[in-house]
Amino acid sequence: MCLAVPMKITGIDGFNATCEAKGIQREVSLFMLQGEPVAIGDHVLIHVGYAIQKISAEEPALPGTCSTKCSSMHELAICQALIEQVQRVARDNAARRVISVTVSVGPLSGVEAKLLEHAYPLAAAGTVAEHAQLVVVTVPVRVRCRTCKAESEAAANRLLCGSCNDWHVDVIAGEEMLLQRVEIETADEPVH
Amino acid sequence: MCRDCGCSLGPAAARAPFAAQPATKGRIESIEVITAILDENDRVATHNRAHFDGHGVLAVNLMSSPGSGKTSLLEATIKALQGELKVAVIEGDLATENDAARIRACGVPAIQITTGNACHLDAQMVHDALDDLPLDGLDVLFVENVGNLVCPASFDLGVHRNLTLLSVPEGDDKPAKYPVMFRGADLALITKVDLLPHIEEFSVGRARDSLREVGFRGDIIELTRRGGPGFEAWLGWLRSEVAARRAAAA
Ligand SMILES: Nc1nc2c(ncn2[C@@H]2O[C@H](COP(=O)(O)OP(=O)(O)OP(=O)(O)O)[C@@H](O)[C@H]2O)c(=O)[nH]1
Ligand SMILES: [Mg+2]
Ligand SMILES: [Zn+2]
Ligand SMILES: [Zn+2]
Ligand SMILES: [Zn+2]
Repeated sequence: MCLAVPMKITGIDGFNATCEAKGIQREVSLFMLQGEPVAIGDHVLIHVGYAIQKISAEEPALPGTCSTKCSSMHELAICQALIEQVQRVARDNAARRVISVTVSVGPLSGVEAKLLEHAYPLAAAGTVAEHAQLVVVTVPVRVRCRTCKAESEAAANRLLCGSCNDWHVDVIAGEEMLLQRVEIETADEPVH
Repeated sequence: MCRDCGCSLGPAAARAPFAAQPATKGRIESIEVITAILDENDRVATHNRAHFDGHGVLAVNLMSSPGSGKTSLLEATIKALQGELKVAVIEGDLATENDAARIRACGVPAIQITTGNACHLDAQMVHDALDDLPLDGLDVLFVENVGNLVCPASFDLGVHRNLTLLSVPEGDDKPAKYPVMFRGADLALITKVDLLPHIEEFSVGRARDSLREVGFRGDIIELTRRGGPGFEAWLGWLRSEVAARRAAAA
């Protein structure tokens, strides 16, 4: 789906790095390379702002394709938004830790539950929700027919009425991407 | 900081580090929340739309797989509308400056988004780009999204219209494979139809059926950047959208 471009690291500041290729400078994140140490002068593959892989300097400077890392980055962005919300809830309720986070996701939201679960620990690292369990409830697509008024389940790429096959339908479920519930432990009851 | 309205929508705030708490026993609570996970993006998107509306500018987001012809369509459109509509472009190609350079060569301003760290644009990136782009006097602002049929679909940018391009070489089954992207569009463009004689596997009828089956309800225009009736129909769509924006702003 997406292209990855080889660049050379010219500076490192925590999880952020400056990279250079063909005279172009870019700020990139080293977030996806945790566990793979990199240094100034190393060559890395950059996929739209993230260094995703260390490569040798001899590798041809041709853009490579990336699909798995790309989709998990999409879900990472969504998990980061989710963690922002969870942190707000935790703060408002004086939580000392978050035990679980329940989200509901429909196939028409464009997000894959599996990838969300994969990306969650990365986004939650270092936050109050770090060890929280992520519960993803998947909601099936449901449509209501404008012609025969029937309600039925449908596939994301075949939004047709289950009883009369008409495509004049309204989607009534399956688009959601919601934070449903946050289970927390509060600090206001010390041990006796 | 938004120069235009003085709003304080700066770049996303850094996450506060979490300090570990002493190991006392607390109370367990379950808190019902029920908010859209991307509500912060949606809030910024609404804010962007207010910017566009305040200036009577039509904002249009172009989405497609890599290479479906987004930049080529913009180049041809800018040339065709020279002297008629004032156009600017926000370029979402995060890896190179190529597309922005191509747009600038057509004589219109192009802002390259460089702050992104994902495979899609979000509302905040568009808002940041607006800092460098005066909207006064503009008729149309195009946003060329990152070439990708998956990720951009989840993020409202605050534009008025979303367009999805499907090029003939990609195959007519793309709507069925990427339903979310096509379903959310207001207009679908089947591009590179000059190649139809060479690619007999592509059936425009099947592409249209597939679009209907994923719930796409907008207009479908078949075109090539080389001009012709489809390209004129696209310009006509754009002109009527601009007129509607102006009427709404008046
Ligand atoms: N035959 C034909 N080729 C086209 C047409 N439009 C674009 N192309 C070619 O398709 C290729 C990709 O076009 P671009 O306009 O760069 O596509 P894009 O969607 O902007 O690509 P990315 O920004 O990389 O995702 C180029 O080689 C164009 O010359 C068309 O109408 N007909
Ligand atoms: Mg392009
Ligand atoms: Zn991607
Ligand atoms: Zn029916
Ligand atoms: Zn603003």
